[in-house]
Amino acid sequence: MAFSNLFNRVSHAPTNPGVTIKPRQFDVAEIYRGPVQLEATGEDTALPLDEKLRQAYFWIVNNAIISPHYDIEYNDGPAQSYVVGGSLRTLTLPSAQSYSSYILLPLLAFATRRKCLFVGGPGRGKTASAILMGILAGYPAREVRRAMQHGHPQMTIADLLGNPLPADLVNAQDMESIRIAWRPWLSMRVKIIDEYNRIPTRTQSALLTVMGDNYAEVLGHIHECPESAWYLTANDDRGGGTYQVIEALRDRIDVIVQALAFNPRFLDDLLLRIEENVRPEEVAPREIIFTETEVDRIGEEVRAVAVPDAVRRRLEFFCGQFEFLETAGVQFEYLTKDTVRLSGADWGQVTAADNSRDRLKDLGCQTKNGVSVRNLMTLLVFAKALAYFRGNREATLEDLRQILPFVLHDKLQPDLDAPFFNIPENVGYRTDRLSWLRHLFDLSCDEFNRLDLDRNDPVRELATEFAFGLDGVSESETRARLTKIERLVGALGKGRKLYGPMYDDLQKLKYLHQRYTNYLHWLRAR
Amino acid sequence: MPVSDAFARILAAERARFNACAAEAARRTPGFDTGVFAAFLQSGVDGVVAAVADAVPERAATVAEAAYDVALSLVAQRLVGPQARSRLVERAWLESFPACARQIAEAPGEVLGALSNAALYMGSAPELRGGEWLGSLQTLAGGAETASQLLMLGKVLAWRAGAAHFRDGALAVASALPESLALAAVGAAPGSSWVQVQAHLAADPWWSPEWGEDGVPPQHKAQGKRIGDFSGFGGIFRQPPEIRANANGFWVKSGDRYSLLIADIRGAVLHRASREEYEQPPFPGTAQTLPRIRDNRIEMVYGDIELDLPAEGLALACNGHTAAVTSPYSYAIRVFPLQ
Repeated sequence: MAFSNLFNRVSHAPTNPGVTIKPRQFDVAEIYRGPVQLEATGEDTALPLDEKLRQAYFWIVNNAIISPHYDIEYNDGPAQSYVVGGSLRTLTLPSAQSYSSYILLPLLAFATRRKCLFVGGPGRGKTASAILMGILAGYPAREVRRAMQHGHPQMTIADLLGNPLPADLVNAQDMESIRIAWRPWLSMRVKIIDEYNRIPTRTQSALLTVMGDNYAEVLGHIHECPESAWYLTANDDRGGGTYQVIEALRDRIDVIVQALAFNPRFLDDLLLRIEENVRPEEVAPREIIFTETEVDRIGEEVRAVAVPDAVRRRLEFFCGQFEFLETAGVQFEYLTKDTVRLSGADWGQVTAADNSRDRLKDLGCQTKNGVSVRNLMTLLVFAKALAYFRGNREATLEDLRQILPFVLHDKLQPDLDAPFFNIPENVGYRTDRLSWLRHLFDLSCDEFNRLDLDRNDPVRELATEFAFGLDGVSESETRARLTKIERLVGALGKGRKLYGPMYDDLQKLKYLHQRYTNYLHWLRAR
Repeated sequence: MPVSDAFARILAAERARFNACAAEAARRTPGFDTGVFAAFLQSGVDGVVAAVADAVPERAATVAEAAYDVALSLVAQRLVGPQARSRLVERAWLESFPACARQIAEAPGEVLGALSNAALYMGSAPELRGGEWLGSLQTLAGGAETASQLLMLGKVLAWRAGAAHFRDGALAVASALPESLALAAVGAAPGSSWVQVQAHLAADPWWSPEWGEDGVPPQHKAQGKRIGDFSGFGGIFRQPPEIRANANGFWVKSGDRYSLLIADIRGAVLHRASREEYEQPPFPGTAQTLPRIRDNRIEMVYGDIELDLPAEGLALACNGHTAAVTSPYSYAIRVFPLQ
């Protein structure tokens, strides 16, 4: 006998209807489809995988994790907003389907096999959420729990990765003969490290190898791990763990989500679980379990989502704001925050000397570093994944705007001594990093629009011209292009203060100039 | 209330297993109401098991097990009992399913599950006449020789009971039924030719076999159908609707709500639609003679229809077979046959 129940029921209605216009067709067999599951309908019920992903999201939101925090807001038309509190904060009621980051981000990490860190106080469901992701991958709850690695101060590399077999250690004549009993979690497609900031530094390095390079090594023996989604938890991400987390390990984490406080208005739901003795992870419906092949396919479909030029340009412009620091060096290429960091110079002294620009207006002054290539790649992957999750085949600016704070949360370090953070209305951004990052992106987009770069971007025109290739470009044409570049460099540098995006433009122009110069030499030498 | 002897014997024979299933359901489903489940076993399930025990005694135990399973599912999801959104499922088990005992005995899980889902569907919208569907099923079920035919019959009857959007599918399904059952299902007189009836139905959505070759009388056509109405009075529109014709029906806009209206002689149904669908390029129209609005009258080929609406702002949209009228002073849409 089998029966459905409220906890393992998945919505039969499309979770994101009305995205594409298809000719309406009504199937009279529809009347027999419904909440009572039929034993054998003989019908193909295969869902598109983005729909399945949304079903998984809504099952988790509605049945498994009580997270009524819709902080990823989308609007379709004007949204109702209200000013609340003495500090005049805005409460928005979104007019389109919006999402809880605490559920959505881990799900996107699952779909794209990336690494997600849950942060938040004890007892907020971080571990339970991570276990649910293991369930989605088809592992029984018991297996997921057993495979979860619990960080503790005495954790050794052998605890984490595996032991040499004792008999082999005694009898082996060489290292090759020693067999290793690898820990089963290494072969799983969902890996969970609970309280990762309690792991000793040396063991963290071994973990880094598995996370970063997908293999484990013990006594010269290698165990190749499958591509996996990773979930790490930390009660306190700001150094409250037993050990400082090594920077390289932190950098491998793709997204960070914060477990928000429980809203006591939902106490009834908790009580129901106690009284009915229900553990959501044990009643996950099979309709939302993903096979390895399905996750592979989702990965391919996510990669196929387009990022339009207009969105890309705004991301370029945003990222261009941060790395440049005029007082960091002398040679043009080294005027970066990285130069200061590598030199070990005092940050306060270097920034104090930076007085040639409006430090309030310059967004770059709000951070201590720039956006790395890895961060950029992660941003693009998650923007695509969010668009895919929403049933779109093209990422929008809003997708990028919504995902950006979760990717850059731990990556773009704020300079809390910057003038921006000392303005009274910006004090909240000192602690609310997600809102600060989103605000930063909004300011960058405003500046992009003010400069009218969608329509008037001479550097982009030159780059587009170059992208057509150099085949057949004559010597005179090459000279003309070189002159154009030189004029533009002159115009950009003439009497104007230097900001991050302009610094990138000048570097791009130098690159183009160099390519044309080399080409010109080649033409002459023929 | 005691259950029938047949059901009591089956329950007693497998008591431990049935109890374990109910206990498991109660454990896994928050709020599972064992009282509602017991009551449904005594009413709905017992009626079906008793009917099967009379008609096909050797299948009674199998049917009881399947019915028990479906009942657990229905109770767990609050689809029966005092909290159910519609009473139609319980009525189906009490009134109609016993009449389908033979077909249920053939494939109990599939038939009980499918017909329960169908009852839910027919009870899900006010435009669908669920009671009529149950009554017709009860009357005509005897004509279905197999479970498969019974399910096909249910589809045709759903269209007849107001699900106008299933018209094409229902006619296709009816063609696969024995001729006498197909004719009865669409309301045609016994002895008619199914080929002719089917062709007539397919050609004209506003033709009904009960009017024969003469067609629907003009005064009946002029009654048309009314759908929508003000949400404050139990309707669905918050603003007077606007309409645009498409090949099979009409796109409807009321405030920020968009719908697809499909109508024929059996009913008029509204489905959710999107703004993008509403804003598609206009339908070119295929009707040769389009009606006209003069004052508050519509001039149709079969006579004038006087509307109970002010003449100001009346809007008319037509597709190949139907005319729809809206007014800024009304939340309802009126639809009429074009010919």
